[in-house]
Amino acid sequence: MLREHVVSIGRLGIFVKLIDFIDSVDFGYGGNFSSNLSQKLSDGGETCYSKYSQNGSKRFQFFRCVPVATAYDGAHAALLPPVFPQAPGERIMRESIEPVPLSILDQEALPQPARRRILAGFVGAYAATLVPWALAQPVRDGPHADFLALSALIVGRQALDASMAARIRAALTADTPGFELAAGALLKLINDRKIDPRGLQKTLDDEKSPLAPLPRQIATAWFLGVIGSGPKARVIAYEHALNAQIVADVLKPPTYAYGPHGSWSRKPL
Amino acid sequence: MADNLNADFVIIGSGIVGALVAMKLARSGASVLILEAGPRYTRDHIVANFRNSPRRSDWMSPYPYSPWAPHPVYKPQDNGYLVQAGPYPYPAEYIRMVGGTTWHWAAHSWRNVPNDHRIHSLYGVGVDWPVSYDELEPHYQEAEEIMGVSGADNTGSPRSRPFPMEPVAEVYAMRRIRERLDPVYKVVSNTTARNSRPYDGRPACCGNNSCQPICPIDAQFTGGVAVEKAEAAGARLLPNANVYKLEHDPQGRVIAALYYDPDKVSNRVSGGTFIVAANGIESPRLLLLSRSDKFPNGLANARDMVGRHLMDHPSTSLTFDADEDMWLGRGPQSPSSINTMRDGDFRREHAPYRLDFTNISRVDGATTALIAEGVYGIEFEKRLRHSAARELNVKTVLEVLPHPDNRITLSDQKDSMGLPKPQAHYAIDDYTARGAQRGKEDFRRIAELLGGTNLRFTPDGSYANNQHICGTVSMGNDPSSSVVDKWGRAHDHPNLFLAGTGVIPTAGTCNSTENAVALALRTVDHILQEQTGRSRAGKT
Repeated sequence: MLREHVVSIGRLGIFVKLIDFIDSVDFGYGGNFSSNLSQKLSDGGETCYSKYSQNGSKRFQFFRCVPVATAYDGAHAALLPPVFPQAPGERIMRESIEPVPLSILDQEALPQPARRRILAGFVGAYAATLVPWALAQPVRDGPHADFLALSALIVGRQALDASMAARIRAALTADTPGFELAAGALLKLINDRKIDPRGLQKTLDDEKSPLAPLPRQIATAWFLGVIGSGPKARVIAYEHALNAQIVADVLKPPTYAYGPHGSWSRKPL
Repeated sequence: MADNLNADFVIIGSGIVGALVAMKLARSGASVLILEAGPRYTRDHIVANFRNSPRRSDWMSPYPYSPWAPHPVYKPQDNGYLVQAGPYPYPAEYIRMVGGTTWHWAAHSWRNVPNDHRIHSLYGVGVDWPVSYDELEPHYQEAEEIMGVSGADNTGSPRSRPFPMEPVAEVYAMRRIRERLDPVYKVVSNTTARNSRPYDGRPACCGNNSCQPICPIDAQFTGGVAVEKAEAAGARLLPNANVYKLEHDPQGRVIAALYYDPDKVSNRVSGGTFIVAANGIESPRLLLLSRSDKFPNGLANARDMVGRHLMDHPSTSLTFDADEDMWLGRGPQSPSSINTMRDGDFRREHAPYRLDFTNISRVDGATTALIAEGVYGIEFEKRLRHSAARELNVKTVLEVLPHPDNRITLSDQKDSMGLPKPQAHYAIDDYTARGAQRGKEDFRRIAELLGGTNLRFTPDGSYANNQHICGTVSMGNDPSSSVVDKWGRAHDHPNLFLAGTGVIPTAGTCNSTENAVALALRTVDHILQEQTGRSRAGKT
């Protein structure tokens, strides 16, 4: 059985995520797959369906990832049968998340980042201190590193979805002349003047900085999955938009089934 | 000009009312043809459009816009289709598409309270209905059984038979609101066309929390489901057929409907009986467009009543943060209400209202507000979770009285088909404004009982519209103040009927769909009984 480790950082500390690749649909976790179903990932040529499962104090998340060509229609995700047959090329994974001691911060002990995940790099020491969990795995390609660092700072998290980052950057670059230069300039400004994210927008607005629209553009892209505004606005993410992820332990994005009739009567947390 | 279409019954409009009229007529064995201005579109497309919409709170955004069947669009830019004559804006929304506007609704299926039918006699305001609650009651039941209405018998509307099913399971947040407001306020489950168990081939609600703009699983009844039922019963439906004129014979009987196809080629449909069910704006517009030498002001408009008495349900609201975690967004969007202000002697003085608690997820709204505020970094996550968990909203659903000056007319401006656009004349009177002020006292008390902080009232004099377009082709016994009789028949045109929210004579405090459906089913019963009577008379 193949296993991947991913270090991730949550609100409550540092965790290591264990991803076990399982061989068949019959992985015996019980319960109804469709009852708690959400379409999980649709990039990288795969569509994944996920489900949480509790085993004592241990919480698992199962993923079934099928090539997009054979994926179930997202619009019908809520109606999938309790057990749907294994599709050709399907990968089944079980994720469990465990807290780790701080010693793992020793760079030598760090496992390689998993696929789909990257750790944002930081240009400038000050910016690095603003991100809550400074686990630097530098990305050294200039403008992309700047964009990731700025994104991490604005959204307040370091582990960012790689494909989403690439799409947001490409879309903002296409829509906004001079976007990359501006992103670099904003990051430099933050480092040079040690501007805290909490005061960033006010500082830029007060100074009538030409960089003032930038944080809102980046925040709108990551948090809402929307690029631009007005008639030109377009969507690059929905269930992966960070605002959906931030509340994913309690809420499903609208149109995704919460659960069987009456499941919403329970106390949420 | 083609003239190859003919039916016993020609129905204009394929919304929930037109489709259910068609279903019932088709089940009687008659030939039925529905003409729909807009295209066919599937639920799956609407769900996908919603997820891909950059304006998720704009419930019109997932729906197709067809230049050959224009409807009002306000975002990202106002398309100017519904011309505003003022003084108060009336930004009505509706969908011209197969199935109509109940593709997106909260599925509220209230009955009136009995006194809603007699507000002139009892309180000296508005008008009395020509149909009593008791006369309408069997048709309410019929509508509820077709639509699959769930509810509890504690909302002030008497019934002779039980609801088709139990109320939808109570949302946790609504339970907490109910417990904490008791005994000052009684919070009750909404009566909704939403399944609490599998019903009529559709599943129970799974809490997708997107009733508006689209239920992805058909757990709520919609015009789309109604159309399926009509077609299963044998009705034919012609989409992309924008009816722009009704023709009549010298006696005033309607003989044909003329429609434009998307290329603006005119076609003609003849029939025995015509039923206009094209919503509270498009129905009067079609009557006004159907001018002739004999009827220079349009059909059914000899006394200048068509389009008048426009009503809706304006809302004021309070948003606040409760002192405990509620997490709106689990379960259906609109589950609970306070019904105690729907009727009482106060109706002499001010508008009655229903108080409605939302269960729409706060996540997108709070995100937008935080970005506008410039909240970034780890603070964002903390603030978003706080708002998503604590934020509540309660709104009034206020009655508007029927005033002749509130009306739909034809504009001088032309739409994309070269037809005069509809124009809205609208004002909100002191009676409704006083109701809103009284509602504000309830808002304060409700917030207090829930430990509310960060209270955000809508500004005084500012009302949100609920898209319950009523009154524009009102029913009444007096032809000088109404458009149709108590059966829905146009006063001067024996084979022309109007069906839909437009025929409702007073808006009351309940969402208009169930009233419209019940009245329309009653119209069909009347038509069929009359025809049976005629055929019997013919035989003897």
